[in-house]
Amino acid sequence: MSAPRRAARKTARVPKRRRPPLRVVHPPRASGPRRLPFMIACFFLVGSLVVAVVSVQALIAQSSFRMQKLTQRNAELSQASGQLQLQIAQLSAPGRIAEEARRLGYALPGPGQLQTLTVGGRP
Amino acid sequence: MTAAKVRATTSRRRLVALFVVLTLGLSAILVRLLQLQVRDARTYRTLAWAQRVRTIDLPASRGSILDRNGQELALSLPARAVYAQPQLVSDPGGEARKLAAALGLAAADVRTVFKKPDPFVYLARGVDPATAAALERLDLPGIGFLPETKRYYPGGALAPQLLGFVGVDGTGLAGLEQQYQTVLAGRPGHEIVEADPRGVLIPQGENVDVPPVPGENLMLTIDRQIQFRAQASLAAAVKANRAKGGTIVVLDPSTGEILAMADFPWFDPNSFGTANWGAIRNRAVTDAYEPGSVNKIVTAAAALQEGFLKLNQRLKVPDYLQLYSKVFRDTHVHPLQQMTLADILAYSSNVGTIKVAQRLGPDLLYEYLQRFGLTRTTGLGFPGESAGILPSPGQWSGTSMGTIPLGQGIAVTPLQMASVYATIANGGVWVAPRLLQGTVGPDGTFRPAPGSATRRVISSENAKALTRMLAYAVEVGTGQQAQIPGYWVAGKTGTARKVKADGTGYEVGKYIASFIGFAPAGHPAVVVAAVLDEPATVYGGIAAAPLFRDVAQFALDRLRVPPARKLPLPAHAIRTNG
Repeated sequence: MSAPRRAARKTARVPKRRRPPLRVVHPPRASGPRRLPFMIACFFLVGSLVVAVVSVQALIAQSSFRMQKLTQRNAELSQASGQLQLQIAQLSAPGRIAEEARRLGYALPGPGQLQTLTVGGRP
Repeated sequence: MTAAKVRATTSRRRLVALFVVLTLGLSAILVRLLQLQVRDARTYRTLAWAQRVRTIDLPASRGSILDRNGQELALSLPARAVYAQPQLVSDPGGEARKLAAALGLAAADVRTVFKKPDPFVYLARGVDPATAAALERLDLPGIGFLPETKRYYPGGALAPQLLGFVGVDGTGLAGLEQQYQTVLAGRPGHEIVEADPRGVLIPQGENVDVPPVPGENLMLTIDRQIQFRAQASLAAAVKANRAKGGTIVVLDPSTGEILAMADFPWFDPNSFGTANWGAIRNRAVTDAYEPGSVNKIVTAAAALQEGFLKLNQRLKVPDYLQLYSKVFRDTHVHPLQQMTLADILAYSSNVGTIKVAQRLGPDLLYEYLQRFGLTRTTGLGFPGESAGILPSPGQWSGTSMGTIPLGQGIAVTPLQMASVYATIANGGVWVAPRLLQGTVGPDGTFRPAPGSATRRVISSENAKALTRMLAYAVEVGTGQQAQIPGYWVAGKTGTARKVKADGTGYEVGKYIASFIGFAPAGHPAVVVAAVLDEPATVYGGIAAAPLFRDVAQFALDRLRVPPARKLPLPAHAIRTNG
């Protein structure tokens, strides 16, 4: 006898069992509490990264604006400094001083009115 | 066919159709992607770059020009150029009104500019940054701004021919501004930034910063107080003598440093566009004139140095002398006189000088004119510097031995002639005149200019002897009006006929009067050359000597040179008129 036939007879001899009554199967309880901390951790991790990236970008943008303002301020101050330098040069120009002195009644010393004396070998 | 089979077939067809559509769609996207990303990538990259990235030119700050004490004679400040792109102007009338009011222009002129077909037209240059910023805030379509610098000369018309001026594009066009253009100009930089359409910089965007390299400051040998006084005295002398113009040069004989240099009339370099061309030239350096009797010192120096004449040797000098077809006369009629070299110089005897020159001969005379630097430029390097005009002895005529010793038939610049007297004052050593003390870098480091070239022309003994002769000329001779109380002054007067502009002869009744000298004669601190063009009084001793005195006295006071005891006059001199 071939092996398949023997197997078929054996099966035929097994008495039919009664189907067990249906009941509600609860999911394993352990799986719920284990996932939540992981998700929370992920949420915080991703959230912190997003906040960090946004903050860094905001800081960079802020620095950029600040740098722009400072550059502008620097240019304005340089301009003001240059204008003051020009004003000093114009005010100290011999022509202006001479004109102002003349207006106030001053005159250059005449011949012999100003003498350079040598004191201790130095004028 | 069962209904199930029909549904399966339809579904398969739909799937195939969807696959084909998707494949075609994706293929189209792929093709377009290849077009954009591969084929046209460079074009789009360039377009995107141009849209976001801006290159801002950063003009270099032009170096200042300072006097010997660090006072500014010329300086630059940032400014803006305002330009128009006429085809982009949306409201020509309104914009013209606003621009004209802000820039001080006529509205009609601005409207005319807007009608031009050019794509770019300057409306104003060197605009004050505050004015430009106010205009920029108006955001006028078609109006743009460019950074640039504007040159200021705070002293106004102080040494204008010397300093020169700068064009609107920041290039030196005359004088020292032109000569030292490369030193003063610096190197412009640029900034490449990435910005949004409102002009706000994009953080972490493209940012390349090539800072401009500022130009170096020039520190001159000029003293602006002496310069001002020299100009004031020159203007007064021109007015008093009803002269056409004049020139003054003040230099330190031991270093060759030029302390002042001016020509009247002058101009204000802040508005050089309105100046006369004649007033722009630094004639002390660029224009050669016949020096007249101040040139007699060269003949005297050569005769002494070559031993053709002793200090106490007397010559018989008549009041006239004929050389070939020409008769040379002294300025005053006098009988045959015994004169030493000192007398000849003191009384500026033409005949006596010719007799001395005849002993020398043309070749030696020419050699000494050369050695005193009258046949070449002084080496100042000033734009347009003249070398003077002196024909070589081979080209001299029979009368040249009469004219050239007297300073006729020879042309020199006032600076060349001042250098001759500086050589005597400096113990016989010629020192190349100089205007530049050094440069000051952007970091404040001072780099001195190379020292002046020097060469010995005559011995110090002969220089001292000549100094005494020149002092004698001031004491009892033609230069008495150059005397300065308390100081021993040495100098020589000069009166020369004025050559016609076309060089075909002399102007009738027109002269150039001069006085060149130094003080104190014992330890010379300043050499002053005073030259007046067409004065009413033609004699240098009357017209130019007072100008010398005013300027030399101020310079001595300014340089704190104490009065010096007068040395005895040359023992060999004969007071022919005294």
